[in-house]
Amino acid sequence: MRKLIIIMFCFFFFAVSSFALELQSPRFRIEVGDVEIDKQAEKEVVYTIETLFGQGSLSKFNAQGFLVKKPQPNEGLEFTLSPTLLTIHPPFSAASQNQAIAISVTTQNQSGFFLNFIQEYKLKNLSGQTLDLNYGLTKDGPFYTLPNQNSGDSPTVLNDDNPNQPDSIYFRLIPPTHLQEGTFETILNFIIVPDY
Amino acid sequence: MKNKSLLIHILRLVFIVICYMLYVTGASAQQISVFFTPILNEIAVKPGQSIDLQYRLNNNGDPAIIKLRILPFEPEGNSGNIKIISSLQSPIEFSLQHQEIQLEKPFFLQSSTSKQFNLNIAIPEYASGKDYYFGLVAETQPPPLQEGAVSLRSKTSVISKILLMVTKDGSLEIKPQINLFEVVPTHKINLFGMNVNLIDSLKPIPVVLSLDNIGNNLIKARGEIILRGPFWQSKSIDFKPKTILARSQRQTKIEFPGKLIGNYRLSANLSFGEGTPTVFASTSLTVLPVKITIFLFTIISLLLLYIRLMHKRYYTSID
Repeated sequence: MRKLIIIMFCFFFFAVSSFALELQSPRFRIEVGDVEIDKQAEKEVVYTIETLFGQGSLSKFNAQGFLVKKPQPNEGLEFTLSPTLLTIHPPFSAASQNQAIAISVTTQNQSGFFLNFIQEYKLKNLSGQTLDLNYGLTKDGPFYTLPNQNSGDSPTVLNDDNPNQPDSIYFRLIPPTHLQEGTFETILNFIIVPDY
Repeated sequence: MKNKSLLIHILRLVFIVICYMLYVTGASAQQISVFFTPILNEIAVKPGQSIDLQYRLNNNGDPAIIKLRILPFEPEGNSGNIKIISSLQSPIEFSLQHQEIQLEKPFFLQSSTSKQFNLNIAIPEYASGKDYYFGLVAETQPPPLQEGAVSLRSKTSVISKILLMVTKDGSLEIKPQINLFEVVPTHKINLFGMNVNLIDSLKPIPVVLSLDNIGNNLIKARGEIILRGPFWQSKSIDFKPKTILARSQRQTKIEFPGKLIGNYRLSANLSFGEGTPTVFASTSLTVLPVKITIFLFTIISLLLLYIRLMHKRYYTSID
């Protein structure tokens, strides 16, 4: 009974595994050249725009000189953001530092999109003094450093690894050690790219 | 008496003005809401041709200043995202067919209004036969900053993709390759020199499929992923069409519903359009209720140990 269980277990879990054994003979030796499994075929197949635009599209293309894949009617994307301006007044209290921007992206046919986000330059005043600003997708964090276009950073993708888009983005100002008065500003750029 | 009352009035006015100046702290509940259509145009075109594309831009938010720009892009990473290139250096020429709007010139768009315009694309005779990717960007202007405060000014850039395939005779280079097709195991064990991917049967099965486009034209992958079990049962999931731009890679994560047990074979059959060969890849996985298996294994081991000890004790007592 125990043997039967072991045999069934092995059959059940290792049924698809196979092993190639090396076979040798003292009498015969067959020699072949190296097998190139990645070698390209000698004769290359030529594909036409019919692969992308469907049957009969090549003759249309030759007749009119171009083809446009017609988009679905009203297939568009709507992006909403509010408010467009966030202001934080000194002295920087804990409450004033945590502010949010509500965002929403709507696409037809539940198509995907990438919600990229970057600050054009660091939060700065006219004399070039800068303040650190972090962002988070929930009120309680975690908070991350904003990518900076001026330093050559790439935009961060807010809906990366998450098919559900974030509905708000929270900002937290890192309080300066010495209170710097004046006007500080930056431009936050939200770049919406449809995924097709 | 009259002078005193005038003074009180002036003081009141000054007080109100000071309060207004100090406490009107930019209560800008301004909203941007832009609808842009279409967001994709796929075009095959011969050199020397010109095409008109129709677009519509709606402003569903507060009045806004918008600028339309054409910027080239290239694929970034393997998720399907793009990287905008800030300068337009291309033989392809673009112009807007509208009396009021021009490319790179900001225009005012009232709330609840829309603008319809045509974009003209001219391909010169000398344009080489390959893919060109551009984005028509509808960019809103950020609001003005507020003096004496920290101002975070937001702007939006909604992109409509233009995928342009320039070809003289309508031929395209379709060269797909599956470079990764594997299950992301919850546990990996080495059993007699063989790597076994263990998946918890109560959890969904995560599968990663990475496709390479080594050709000079974009491709569209579609097909299905089939899971075959030990008793000839099978489940399949549609692989939704994905565009893979020329000379780029695209990785897709798929999840098969869990509640399986045993050894399974997973295969991907992908096609890239009419007449193209099907690309195939497969992998195997073992699905086990990991926690229950560990629990049972521990119980059985302890039981066996106990029985052995009892046997030993029994025989020593007989001796």
